[in-house]
Amino acid sequence: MIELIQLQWLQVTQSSWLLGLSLVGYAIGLTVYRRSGSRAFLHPLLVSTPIIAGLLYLTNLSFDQYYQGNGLLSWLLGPTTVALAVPLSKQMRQLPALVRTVSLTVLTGGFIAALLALSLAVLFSTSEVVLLSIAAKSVTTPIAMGITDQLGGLLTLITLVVLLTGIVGILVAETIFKHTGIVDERWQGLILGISAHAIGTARAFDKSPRCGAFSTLGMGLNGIWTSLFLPSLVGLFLN
Amino acid sequence: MGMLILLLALTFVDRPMEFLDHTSGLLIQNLSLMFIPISVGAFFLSTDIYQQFPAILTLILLSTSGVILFMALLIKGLEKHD
Repeated sequence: MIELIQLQWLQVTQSSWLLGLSLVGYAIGLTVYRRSGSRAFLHPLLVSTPIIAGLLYLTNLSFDQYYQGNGLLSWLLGPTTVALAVPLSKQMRQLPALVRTVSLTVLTGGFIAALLALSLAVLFSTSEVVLLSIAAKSVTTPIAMGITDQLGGLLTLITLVVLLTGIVGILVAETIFKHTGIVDERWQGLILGISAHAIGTARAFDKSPRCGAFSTLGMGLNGIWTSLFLPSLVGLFLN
Repeated sequence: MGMLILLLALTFVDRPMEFLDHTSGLLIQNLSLMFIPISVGAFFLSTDIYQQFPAILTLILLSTSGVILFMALLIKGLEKHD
């Protein structure tokens, strides 16, 4: 426990002026996103990350230097995940009446997300390391990293795959909701949380606190469920 | 685990304390900011991974769209059944 606290303290104290680069990039991204009327393809992550990466290339700074210098932001991801319990608690009273739809959607949605990803990886003949690194793609980053490490995949790749899954999820979800007639913000949130994890949840909170709370629920339940079945499912695809 | 403990604690109170409501709201509103450092890493991957990138991107696009469509149809089906 003390070792964990020391590691976290070290992560925070390694923060440097490079944190400012992320804050400025985020401010630009957020401004563009809000002025566009919250269009998914102008999400702050899509606008800010190329700007920051471009500046790192121009200034010859390595990604490791940048990442270490942003220790405070990486550390804040933990307390922010815990904070998701607050909006979720406000929706808990509604849950008993919705338990059938929520549980069926999480159980089948989480399983099909992994099954589709693994089947397509086999179809496209990707290398084994890619197959092991994409299996947990619909799960939030901290859980996905734990599962991928256990499976023997690449942690650098799963973080990219999780990020792209979140971005693709928020980009395609609106069109699918429109065509299938999903207008209830609770279901939109649940689907975003299961398929696009924390990025989908951030998008869901842009819609409403209720949508965000259901997205948090979907993300959390899918993380637990996927960590239970995924190692056995991946084993079937390796043999 | 931390989220689960806080959730359990909050089920015993009528309303979260104001400071908790305010702080959690501020953190959640800026959730995307916490993902910026790791997301910048996408621009610094090895050549080997970049070579498989079209397949990876297609896979993500098809599987994510597929599962969202599946869940949307499932929920519509359950709503009709009710």
